[in-house]
Amino acid sequence: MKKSRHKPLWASLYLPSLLLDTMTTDGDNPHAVAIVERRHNRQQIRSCNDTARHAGIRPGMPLNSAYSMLPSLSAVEYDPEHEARLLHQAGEWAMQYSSIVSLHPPCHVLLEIGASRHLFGDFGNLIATLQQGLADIGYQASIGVAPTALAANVLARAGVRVGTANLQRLPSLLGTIPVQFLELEESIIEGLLRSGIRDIAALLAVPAASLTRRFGPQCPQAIARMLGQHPDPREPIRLSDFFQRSLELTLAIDNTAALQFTTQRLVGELAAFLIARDCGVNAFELSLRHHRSSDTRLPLRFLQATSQVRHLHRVLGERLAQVELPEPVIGLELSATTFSQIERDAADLFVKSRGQQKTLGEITDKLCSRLGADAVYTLDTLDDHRPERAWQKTFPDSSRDQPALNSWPERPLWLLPTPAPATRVLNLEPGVERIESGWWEDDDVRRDYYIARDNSGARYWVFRKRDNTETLYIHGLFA
Amino acid sequence: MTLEAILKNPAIWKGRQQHEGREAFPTRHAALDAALPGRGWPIGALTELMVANEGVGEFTLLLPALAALTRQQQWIALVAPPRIPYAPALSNAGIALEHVLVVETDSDKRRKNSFWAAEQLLRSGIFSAVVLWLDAGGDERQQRRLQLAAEHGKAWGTCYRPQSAAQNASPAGLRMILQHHSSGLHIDIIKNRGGRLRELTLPHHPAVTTEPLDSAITYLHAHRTAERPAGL
Repeated sequence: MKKSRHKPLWASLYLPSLLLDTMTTDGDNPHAVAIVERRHNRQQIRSCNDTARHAGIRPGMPLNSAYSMLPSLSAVEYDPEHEARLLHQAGEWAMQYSSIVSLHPPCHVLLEIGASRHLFGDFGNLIATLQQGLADIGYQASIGVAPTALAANVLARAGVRVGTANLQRLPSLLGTIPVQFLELEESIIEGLLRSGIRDIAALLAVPAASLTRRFGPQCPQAIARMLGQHPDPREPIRLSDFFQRSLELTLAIDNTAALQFTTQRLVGELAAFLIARDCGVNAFELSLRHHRSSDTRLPLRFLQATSQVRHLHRVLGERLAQVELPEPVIGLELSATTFSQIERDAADLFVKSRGQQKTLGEITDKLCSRLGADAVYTLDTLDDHRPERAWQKTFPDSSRDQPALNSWPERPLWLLPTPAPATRVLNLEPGVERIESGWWEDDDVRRDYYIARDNSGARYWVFRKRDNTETLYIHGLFA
Repeated sequence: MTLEAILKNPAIWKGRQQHEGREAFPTRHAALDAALPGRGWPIGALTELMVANEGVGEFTLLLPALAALTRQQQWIALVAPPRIPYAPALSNAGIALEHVLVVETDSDKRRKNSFWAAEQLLRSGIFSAVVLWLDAGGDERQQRRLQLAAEHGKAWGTCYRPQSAAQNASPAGLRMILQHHSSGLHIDIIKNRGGRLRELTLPHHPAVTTEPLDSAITYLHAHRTAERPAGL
């Protein structure tokens, strides 16, 4: 059953148009959208969607020319930070398929799939699942699979739909791919093309020393990582682990009652953050900003981690009521960094809709009428040393008092109605519990109890009678 | 059109949304919680446990979660347990016994009645957890009824089946094969709706005493016996 350490295998998701994919909103007849950036001191098109492309707009085109071709074009400033956020979101999405996901900005999400491969038969099934999933959320993507991250990236960018798990097969698989698909600086690519090196096979034929001399060490290093000759460790992504939200106030607030109202939104966002991560907050801080005075800082601590918005808001409200403001508040910031797992209340989780709910009496009556009155019962313990008398059946009653918790030495979950002589080989664990009781009644019990194990790993509660140590009786199973 | 305006469109997908709305109750085994999509036993779904050999720790696995439920005044039911569920052991595990309903079914209609009782209990909306023992069989149609009943009653349903059942398809949301392993209970997750399949081993719970046999003899309740009035 134990698996040997698997060889790494990477699936690279190439997402070339994250920004555009999240903007195209109106289905069949999308609006023309282009991303623009400032280059060589002018606004030019960085990328555009299909509608814009059909109108003749191309990357690299000056924005003015694009507008003259298509006045209805929506131009959106390129925002690398937003692109990074989208890539991170795509990475979080990918975490449902692999627990090791890392980002390769600006456009690649890498999934380590060596571990999950056997679940999908072969990685073809996994790739199909990923492809479908990406299409469902509206991302243009191509996927490459290879034992190194960089090779997977190249296969993905080149749209090669053949992958390999075998390091030895990489050179032949990559050979026909043009060098433009390598992640090298433009100047290096141009140099390679000038030297007549058009595809990866031609590049691999050039000695590393010669490449270093002509293009610097970056080029042969990238090749070595791509072919698995150099290690290429990747940092897996994590869900963001702190919370910070701020609010600018258009009108300064000078009383704490109004502040309480304003903080509701921040507290609501904090609660949503906590619920999404299934954790609670132990401490947070609210900062109130003023025109001239330094910030009023209100640190809050919770004895028990919580994610309940009402509780958060009540505690914050009590704190705010005690504050004396030096001057009106012009901005707020709520930040939290200490979180921990919380015990969710079972009553909240197993919420029942009142309409469908029966009473306990109704259901037990129904069961008893078909199975017999003896067949349905609750349990109780009895203070009797004889194991078979240490429990009893009781009538189900939702109002029954909670009995005091008794504590016994280790006891089996299953008790045999009558002890049976052991018929198989059992190994006794060390430790004996002597039970002597009931001598004042007829069924005198004088036994030494052991815990025993058979060769399948099952554990038994067994005893020997003190007046007959020959036979080993099984009295229970630990299950 | 600004990016902010565009991002307000509800059609635009944002990272975490997929994982929300899957409710689960923590198993209280950290390694197992980590392997399950909701970080716990799925609520409103059927869990199937296929056991290779009885006695490997198959029921002990459930006790931490069952105990937590009963201590929060939630009802749990044990349907057709293979033997007497021994109250002192359940109490040791922290289970509040007054919230445990045991349902026995007699031998001739055992299977049919067990299914019926489990379905009634799951569907009732009163029981948060229902554990059913099936010594044999259990076809896909019956398992589907249990799965639907668990959805309807928003309950955590668990069903023990023989290991041979692992080969058959099942509508259960979570399926595991439980086996003995020298270092603990080996769990092979063969179906994990919304999560990944994997194998893990939970360590044995009790530390085995290493004292020599003779010195470890204890006289149970000796002090309590002494407190009884003489001659009783």
